[in-house]
Amino acid sequence: MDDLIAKAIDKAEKRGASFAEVRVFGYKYEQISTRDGQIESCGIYNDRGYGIRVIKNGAWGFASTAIIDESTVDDIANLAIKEAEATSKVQKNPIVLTEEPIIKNKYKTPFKINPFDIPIEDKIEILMLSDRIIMEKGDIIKSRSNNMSFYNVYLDYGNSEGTRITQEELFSGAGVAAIAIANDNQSREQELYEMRGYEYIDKFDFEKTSENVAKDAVVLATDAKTPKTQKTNFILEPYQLGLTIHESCGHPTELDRVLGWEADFAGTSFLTLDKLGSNYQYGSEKVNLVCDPTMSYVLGHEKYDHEGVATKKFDVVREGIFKGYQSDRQTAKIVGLEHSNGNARISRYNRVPLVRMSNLYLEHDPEGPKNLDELVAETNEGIYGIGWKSHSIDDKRTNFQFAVQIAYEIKNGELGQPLKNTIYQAATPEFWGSLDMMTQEWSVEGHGPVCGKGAPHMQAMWVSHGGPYSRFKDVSIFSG
Amino acid sequence: MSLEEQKELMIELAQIALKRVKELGAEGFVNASVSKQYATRFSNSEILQNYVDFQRNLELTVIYNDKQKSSSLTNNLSENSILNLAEYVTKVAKMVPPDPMYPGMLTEAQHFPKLQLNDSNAKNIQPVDIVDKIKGAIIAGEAVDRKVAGVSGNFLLIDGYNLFSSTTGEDLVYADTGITSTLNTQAKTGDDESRSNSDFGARYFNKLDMETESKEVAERAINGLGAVSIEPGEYEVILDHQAMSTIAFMTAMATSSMQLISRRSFLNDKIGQQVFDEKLTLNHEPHNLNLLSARPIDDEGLATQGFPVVEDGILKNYSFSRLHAAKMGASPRGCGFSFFGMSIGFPFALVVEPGDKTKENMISEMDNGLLVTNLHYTNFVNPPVGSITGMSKDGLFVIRNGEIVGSAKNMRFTDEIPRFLKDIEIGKELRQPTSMMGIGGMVAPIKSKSFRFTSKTKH
Repeated sequence: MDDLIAKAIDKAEKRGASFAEVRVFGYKYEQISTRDGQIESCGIYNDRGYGIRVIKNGAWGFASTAIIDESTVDDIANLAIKEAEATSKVQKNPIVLTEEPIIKNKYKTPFKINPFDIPIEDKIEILMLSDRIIMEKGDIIKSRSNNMSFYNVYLDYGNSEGTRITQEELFSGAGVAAIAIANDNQSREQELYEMRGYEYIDKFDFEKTSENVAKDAVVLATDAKTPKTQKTNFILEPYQLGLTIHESCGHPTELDRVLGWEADFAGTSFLTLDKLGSNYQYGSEKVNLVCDPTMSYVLGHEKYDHEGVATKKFDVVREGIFKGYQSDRQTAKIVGLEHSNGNARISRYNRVPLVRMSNLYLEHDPEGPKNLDELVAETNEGIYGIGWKSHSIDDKRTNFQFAVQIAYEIKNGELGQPLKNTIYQAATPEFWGSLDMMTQEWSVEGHGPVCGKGAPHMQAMWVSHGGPYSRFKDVSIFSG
Repeated sequence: MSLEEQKELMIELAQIALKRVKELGAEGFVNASVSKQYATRFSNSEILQNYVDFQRNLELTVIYNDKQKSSSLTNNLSENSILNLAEYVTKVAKMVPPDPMYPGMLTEAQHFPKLQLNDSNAKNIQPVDIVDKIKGAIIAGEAVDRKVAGVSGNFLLIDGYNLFSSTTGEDLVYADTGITSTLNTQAKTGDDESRSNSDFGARYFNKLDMETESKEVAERAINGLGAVSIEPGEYEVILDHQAMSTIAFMTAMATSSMQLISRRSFLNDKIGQQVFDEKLTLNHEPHNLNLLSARPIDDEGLATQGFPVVEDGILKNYSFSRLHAAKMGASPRGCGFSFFGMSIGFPFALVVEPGDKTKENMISEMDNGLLVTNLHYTNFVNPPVGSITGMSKDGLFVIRNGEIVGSAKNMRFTDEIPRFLKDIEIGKELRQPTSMMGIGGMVAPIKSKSFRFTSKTKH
């Protein structure tokens, strides 16, 4: 790709671009899924191409094609220039980017087994066994499904400043779901991803997960009760904690939202610019929320973002105080930051980069209870919530309402009655202000390529989140 | 390569793929598309990004022994790539266990309606034409009032060709143009700010009136200033076009075979029952040329058909894919949607039958209620009972004694669709908000006697 990238940059510069970058980007995606014992989907999806983004007359222009061939470079570069020229007619503030170190490097995320080398029959066998395990729970199970998916994502990036990066990511995901109908119609599912190869399928453990999911579905449809409306201690496990982080911390700290660039679709943010550096109290002193895409094996891991900036670990919230935004080169420059925090990402070759989450998590408490059992033992009364069922949050990311798949009453330090249709609703700063206890045990969970942002072409991005088992005080709980 | 050349290539490669599938002893069909897409993102009265893309995809589905199926997709339209695709998909189709319920290749002859779905002038549009249109919208919005702080939004023009071709000789190529835009205007005075939003579209570039829309959005943003905090509870509401499009989308989802087959719909086993107010009629109209989602063929090769979804409040029809129809003992009616090899049924061209009152009439007849212009982040809470939650966004207005008297700060609603659509009135004017996640629809405002808000925000 070196020749194509060099030619494209040269062409753009000759046409008057003050900056040019080229992204050759693609993915191979394999998905196999079953529903009620039959194959629902089984195939491979290939998508690849390249895009040229330029700044001319202080304005951006971008053009892309699926034909990765030097013969197309002249046309695509010309189109990008033409777009920039048209935009510059109405541009009031010229685009300026942060200065970033020039990088020349290649990187591949580590894995042991390439999932694309594993025969499809082996994958189907695992899924069929999972299906049988769920089916063994009897007629009460009315619907069963499961899946595994594998992604190979590659990026060749070069810009007119001299940065040249090749990055390849390989990640795997697995999911199981069961719907049971008895006294009630209830569902239970688990779907997780990691930046690993086929070895992740062993780690996910379809047999154990299928058993647990089916067992929970039966409990939900038979024995579970709805919670009474109350304010109580609420404990979240790492996955659902991660979703809560994603919606109430991740999105409002994306700098493009703060600048109003997502007002027409995803929304804006309550964490306005005046709150940066003003010791804004986002949560309790125990809240340390960290963005760290450098962490290996988690789904949001990458060494470089899609503007060729090295990713890094940085604080979003430290000891409850709001510390920093997720940013790209343009948004960082606009608000006077010296450098991008490395959050520019694209989901396809023909999309412009947006400020995106990667791996954002809550730090554990090294002096807290060792694990969930100890945290529950410390809790006289409350509810322990597990898994995503439903989520919604307002456009500025303050008022959220999430439902968990299954919950348990906590009484006198012990888990008790299973609960269904359990909803928690809160305002972001109050919720995080109520965090009072966390375990030492923690994990980061991959949420898959499910985070949608950007219009008119919505981009679905893969992200990871998590942290310790965490207890929040006086949370509003009700059923629905 | 021009769009016309890409179309010819797509046709040629589809035939190469299908020929190879036949040689390998299987049957199959191709869904493919090529298009030129112009897109723009703008915010705070400035263009953020202007871009152009040549989009193309070829998805091959292979069916072996009528019961084994596999699909894969590529955007690499070279002969080698397509031959590899044909060989791979056929190999997988021969390997996967048979599904006894799969209906096999479509053998019934299809009669596709001839629909004029493209703007023949679209190919001549240049980036500068789009910039001029957006500039016109920005100027028009800013001219409404000095309190207008900025116009944001997006624009997308897709112009291209779609293809369906099968080993059983079913072939259709049709041209399609669609233009969608969103305007989101901010009004500001001191620390007080307000936004208003509109999603809209057109098939013809010269019919997309962004200036008029921008004025309306700006006026609504100005009217949203000075919002007061009101208490959650049950309110009589008018759900304006944008808000109603969200409700229509959620209702449509509940009629999808995907929800039904997994028993997760509040409309399971409700055909023939009076589920909604008798004033509610929803029709699936895939041949309605006013709809951007109109099309002659579905993703499974069936000719599209119109049908009532809800008639006088009675649930009339679900939407099936061919497999789901076979499993549920029904007939598919050309509303199959495929993604990543899975097919579901969905009424993608939903039209609300309009009533006889204007929105102004409905406001004038309301003593005490709210006008909800837009809903945000709406999701099912408990699908089997139809409970949903979401937020009001960019325009919640207070109505007293038949007049809008001010705006209110946003609130969260959590309510059950069949409950709040039980006592309604339907407005007269149809519009096509384009925000329904790519699914088309024309809706009118509705007045609901009772809509439950459950919490509030500070903005």
